[in-house]
Amino acid sequence: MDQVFRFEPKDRYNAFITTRNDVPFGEGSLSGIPLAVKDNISTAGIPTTCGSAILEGYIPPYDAHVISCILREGCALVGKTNMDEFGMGTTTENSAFGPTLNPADISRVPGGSSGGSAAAVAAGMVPIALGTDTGGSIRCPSAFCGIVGMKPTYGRVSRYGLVAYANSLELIGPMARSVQDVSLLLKVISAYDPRDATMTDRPYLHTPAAKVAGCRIGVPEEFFGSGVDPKVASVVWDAIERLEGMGAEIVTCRMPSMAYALAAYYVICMSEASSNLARFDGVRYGPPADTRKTWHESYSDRRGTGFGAEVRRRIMLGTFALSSGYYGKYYAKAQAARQMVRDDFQRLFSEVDLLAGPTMPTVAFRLGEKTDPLSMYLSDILTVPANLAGIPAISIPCGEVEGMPVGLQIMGPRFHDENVIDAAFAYELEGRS
Amino acid sequence: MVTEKDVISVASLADITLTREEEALFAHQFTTILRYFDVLDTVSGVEYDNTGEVNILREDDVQESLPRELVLSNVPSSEDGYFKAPRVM
Repeated sequence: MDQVFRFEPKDRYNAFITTRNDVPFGEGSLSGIPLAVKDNISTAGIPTTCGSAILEGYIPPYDAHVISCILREGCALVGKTNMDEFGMGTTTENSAFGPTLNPADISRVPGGSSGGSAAAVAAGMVPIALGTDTGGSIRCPSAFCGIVGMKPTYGRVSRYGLVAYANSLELIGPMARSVQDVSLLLKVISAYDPRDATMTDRPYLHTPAAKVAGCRIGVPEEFFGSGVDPKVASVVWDAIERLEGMGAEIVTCRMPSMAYALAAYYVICMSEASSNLARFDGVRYGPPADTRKTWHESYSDRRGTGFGAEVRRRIMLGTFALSSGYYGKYYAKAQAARQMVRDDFQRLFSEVDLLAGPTMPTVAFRLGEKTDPLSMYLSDILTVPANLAGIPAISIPCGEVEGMPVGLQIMGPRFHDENVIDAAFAYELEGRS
Repeated sequence: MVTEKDVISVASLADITLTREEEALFAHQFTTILRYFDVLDTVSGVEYDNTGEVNILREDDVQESLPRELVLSNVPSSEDGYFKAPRVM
């Protein structure tokens, strides 16, 4: 690494938590390309906060697998981006480092939780970025900021070095201004890594080919349910009709498990969070625990002050859902509902090649608009099914409502990331005009 | 209906301290959220199907790990190369 990229961003949107000025880079398919990384992905020698005060001062001693991959291809890792604390949020307002603003309208949120990465790409500060997606955290901010973002098939990108929030749902994925760049970054980060036991050795080696003619695309009625803003629905239907005009066959269908998907998602992610976040004890990293107090007192105080309100809500609700007497009512039922979602997708993908609909039910919210937790959770209804089933899903810009970007979401069967990319690429080339 | 007493009890299980204001606020918010989760009560006739899923475990052999000084580089308080933790009892 003998070359240096000079990075001097005007970060008017608070997209970054940490930036580097003189950034070394090497040779490879990403040589010299400035790349931003969400701040829950471990970077050796560069602070990694997860948007939380509890990790203040933490500098990871090792790189996440995806970081080794991008550095091997010569990128210039210019900084770490803002996010909802530990990925818990849909707005990037739940950050100990203040909210990120939406470059399309600074009175609005960029979406979340990968809002910093989305804003950095949308504002032109970097061409590509890494985000993470547990229930829509790549696709939501991509839709709200008007960029392309993809959650790959679960098991296609190593989670080694990703600070865990909900292991069975989350994945690292690419964000960019074009489908080709998303595809290029996915190719780099999907290299096999035995250190993630849920990873399969099926690297993505694809070069996008605009291909949608003859493709059967299903549109579940539930994706246009009562919570979806009619103006957003209209823009997305126009996009789907353009896919039809390009030779795709559009089939309306039903997905009854949508009635349970959101509740199942939240019970599962909160339960997993309650276990994963137990590691932030003030003993191994972060601001110190008070060793004069007992373990219980010291640990409770550290977590009480170190975690923001949303993180504490989720840990507590997860603890509750797993506690004796409630496990059957919440966690076991959520796993059964998750199976219904998987079964629905399996049935649908025996009839159609891809599914399409809106990424988000509305355009970006105004800052401070979502004060009630449940109303914020409800906006994830269209993105969580892909995480419950582990299938690939992409969000691409498909128009605007009152000047704010709208995202079209395309999903495919597990390990058919290539088909999802090809359809998105076809839309990007021909459909947008 | 979640009471403040319920919130205090879960906070203790989860090892999280709350302010008095938060106890009341969380009780109200948890009531709304758990009421929404009640939709899961109507899930029936479906069992989680894990057929085809197998555990892939590596051999339990010793592999290279991080050097001790690197592991301790983020530790707020250490002694003689060990983590220093509050007393448990």
